[in-house]
Amino acid sequence: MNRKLTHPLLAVAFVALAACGSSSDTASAGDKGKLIYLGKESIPKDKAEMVFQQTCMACHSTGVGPVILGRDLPPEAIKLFVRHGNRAMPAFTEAMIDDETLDRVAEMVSKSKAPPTQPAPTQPAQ
Amino acid sequence: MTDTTQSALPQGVSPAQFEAALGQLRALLGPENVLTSEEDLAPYTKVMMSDADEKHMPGAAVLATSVEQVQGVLKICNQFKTPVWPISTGRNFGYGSAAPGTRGQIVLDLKHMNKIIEVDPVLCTALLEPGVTYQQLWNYLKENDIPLWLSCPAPSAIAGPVGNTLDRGVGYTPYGEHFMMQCGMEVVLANGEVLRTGMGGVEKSNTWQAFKWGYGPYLDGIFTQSNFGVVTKLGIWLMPQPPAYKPFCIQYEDEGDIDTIVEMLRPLKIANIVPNAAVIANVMWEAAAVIPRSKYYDGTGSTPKEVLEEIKQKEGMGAWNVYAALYGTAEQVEVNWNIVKKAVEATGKGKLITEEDTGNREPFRYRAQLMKGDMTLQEFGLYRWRGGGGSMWFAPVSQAKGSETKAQMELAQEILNEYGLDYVAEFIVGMRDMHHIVDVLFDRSDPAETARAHECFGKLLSEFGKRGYAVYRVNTGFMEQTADLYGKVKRDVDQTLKRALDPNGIIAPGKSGIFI
Ligand SMILES: Cc1cc2nc3c(=O)[nH]c(=O)nc-3n(C[C@H](O)[C@H](O)[C@H](O)COP(=O)(O)OP(=O)(O)OC[C@H]3O[C@@H](n4cnc5c(N)ncnc54)[C@H](O)[C@@H]3O)c2cc1C
Repeated sequence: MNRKLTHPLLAVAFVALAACGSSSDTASAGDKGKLIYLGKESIPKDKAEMVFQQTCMACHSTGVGPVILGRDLPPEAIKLFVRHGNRAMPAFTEAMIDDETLDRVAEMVSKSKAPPTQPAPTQPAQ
Repeated sequence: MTDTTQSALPQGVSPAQFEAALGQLRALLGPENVLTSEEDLAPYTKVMMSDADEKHMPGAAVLATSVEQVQGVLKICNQFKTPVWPISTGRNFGYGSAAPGTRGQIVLDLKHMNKIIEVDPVLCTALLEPGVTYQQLWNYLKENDIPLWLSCPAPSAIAGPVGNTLDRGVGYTPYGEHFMMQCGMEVVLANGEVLRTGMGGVEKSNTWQAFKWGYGPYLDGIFTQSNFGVVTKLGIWLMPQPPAYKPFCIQYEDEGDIDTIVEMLRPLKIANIVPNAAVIANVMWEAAAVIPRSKYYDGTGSTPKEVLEEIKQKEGMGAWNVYAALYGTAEQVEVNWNIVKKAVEATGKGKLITEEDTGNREPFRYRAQLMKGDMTLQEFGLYRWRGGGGSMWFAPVSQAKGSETKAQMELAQEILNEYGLDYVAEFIVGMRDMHHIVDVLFDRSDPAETARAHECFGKLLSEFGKRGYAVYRVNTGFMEQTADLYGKVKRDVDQTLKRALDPNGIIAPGKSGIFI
C-alpha cells in the first residue's frame, strides 16, 4: 500500500530519519510561566524562509516530526518527502509549495547546522 | 508529459473521451495547469484512511485561477461527462485528504485562487477565495495590525477556512462552530451560472458578509458537505481580540468522570460563561501530543489499562483533560473564573491548571494556541502514537449529557479493543451537542492492521447507528454507509437536488453518498 516508499532515495532518507526518531523531550520540556504567543515579528519576509519556519519547523522543531536539521539530508530526498509525504507526514503539492521555493527550502535544510538542543543522532528510534 | 491517465479513468468514461477532455482543459488553463504524470499527481494521492490508494486515484488534477476558469472547467466536464472533485486547500486529513471520493475523478485544485478579497476590521468579517490558508490569513491580520482572531482546526497552519467550513469543520475559539460563523458564498453551478447566496444577489448590496439569511429559502447549507456546486468565495466572521484571555485545563482522574465533566460544563457553555468550543481529551490523545506510545508500551494491540495508569502518573495527565478558556475584559474574566472554580469545586474532584502552573509546557501550550486561533501543528503528534500514518476520524454526535457521552465512550472502547486498536478520543463541546472525535489510528504500512481498522470502522458506524448515533462527517471510504444512517428520504432529497443542479453528475460524485 505504501508503494511510494519504494523510491531508492526516499528509502535511504527514511532510514536516516528513522534512526534519529523524534524528540519527544523537546516537546514536553517547555518552561512554566507565561505563555509566549507569536506576533508580527515572527513572519519571515522571504518565501522559502516562510515555508521553512511556518510549515517545516512547525513539526520538525517541536518534537512532532523527526529532527531534520544538521543531518546532511540530501536535497533530492527532502524534496521527495515533501512531494510524496511519508507515513504521518502529509504530501505537499506544487500549488502549495512551488518547485523553486522547494529547491531553496531543501537546500536550506540540507545545509543546516544541528540546533543546540537536538538529541544526539545515536538516540534510539521511538 | 507522461500520460498515465490510462490507469485511473472515471467509471464509464472512455480513454478517448478522457483525453479529449484533457486536451480542452489544457487549452483553457495552459498545459502546466493540467497535471497527469505520476510525479505531479503523487501529492494528491496520499491518503490516511484504510481504503487502498487505487480506489481514490485521481485521473488528473487541474488548477484554476479565476471564476471564469472554474466555469470553463465545468463546461468541459459536462461536455465530456468527466467528473471533477473540488478542493480548496486539500488538507482533509483523516477524511480523504486531497484525493477524490472515487477513482478517476479530476481534482479541481483551487489553491491558486488565494486572494484575501476583503477584511473589514469594523464589522469583523472577511471574504476569501478557496486557496487562502489559515496561516496566510493570520499573517495578513498581523502584518496589517488588525486585532481580529481566527478560529481554526488543529492543522491550522496548512489547512484553510473555505475548505474547512465547507466540510463543516470545527475550531476551538468561541467561533469554533465554523459554519455558524460563515456569511455569504459565491458558487459556480454545474451549468456555469454563478450564484451568490444570502444578500449577495442584491445589486450594489454591502451586507453580503453582514447578514446570513437573505430572503426566501436559505441555500448556503446545501453547498456544504455536498456536490451541488463549486464554491469560489466565502464570507466568514472573525472574532475581535479580547482584552483578556485565560486558557485553563481541568484534569479528572477516572474514565467514568466523563459523565460529571459534561454535566458540569453544559450549563457553563449554554450560559456562555465558557464560550469556546472547549475540548475534553482522554489520556491517550493528551499523551500522543507529546510522546509516542512506545515510551511506555512496546506491544501490539490496544494499550493496556495499567499502561495508561502509568502514563497518567508519570506524565501528570488526567484520564480526561478539559481545555477551555475565558475571554473578555479582565473584570469579566475574573467573574467568570470564579464561577468556573465553583462549578469544578461542586463536582468534588477535578484539578484546575492555569497558565501560571504550566505555561509553555505541551500539551497545554498548543491547546492555549488553538483556543485563540493561533497556528500550530502539534496535534500531528497523534500519528506517532502507534506510527504508520493511518488515521480515520470516527466522529459521532452526542447529546451534551453525561450519561450519553459515557455510553458512547464505552461502546467505542469495546469495539476498538475488539480489533486491537486504541480509544484515542476527545469530545468537542458544541452548542447543545458534543462532537465525539475518535482518531482510529493504525499502521497503514501493515496490510493486516489496515484491514482490521477498516472492518473496525465499519462496525463502529453500524453499531453506533443501531443505537441512533451517527457521525457528523466521514472519510471518503465510508460515505455510502454513513448516508444510509441518515435515512432513505434524506438520500432521496439529496439526489433530487443533485439531479436538478447537476444533471450529468459531474461535480464530486459520491460526496456524502450523493450520486445522480
Ligand atoms: C492532527 C489533525 C487534527 C485535526 N483537527 C481538526 C479539527 O480540529 N477540526 C476540523 O474540522 N478538522 C480537523 N482535522 C481534519 C482536517 O485536516 C481539517 O478539517 C482541514 O481543515 C480540512 O482540510 P482543508 O481545510 O484543506 O479543506 P479541503 O480539503 O480543501 O476541503 C474539504 C472538503 O470540502 C469540499 N470542498 C472544498 N473546497 C470546495 C469548494 N471550493 N467547493 C465545493 N466543495 C469544496 C471537498 O469535498 C473537500 O474534500 C484534523 C486533521 C489532523 C491531521
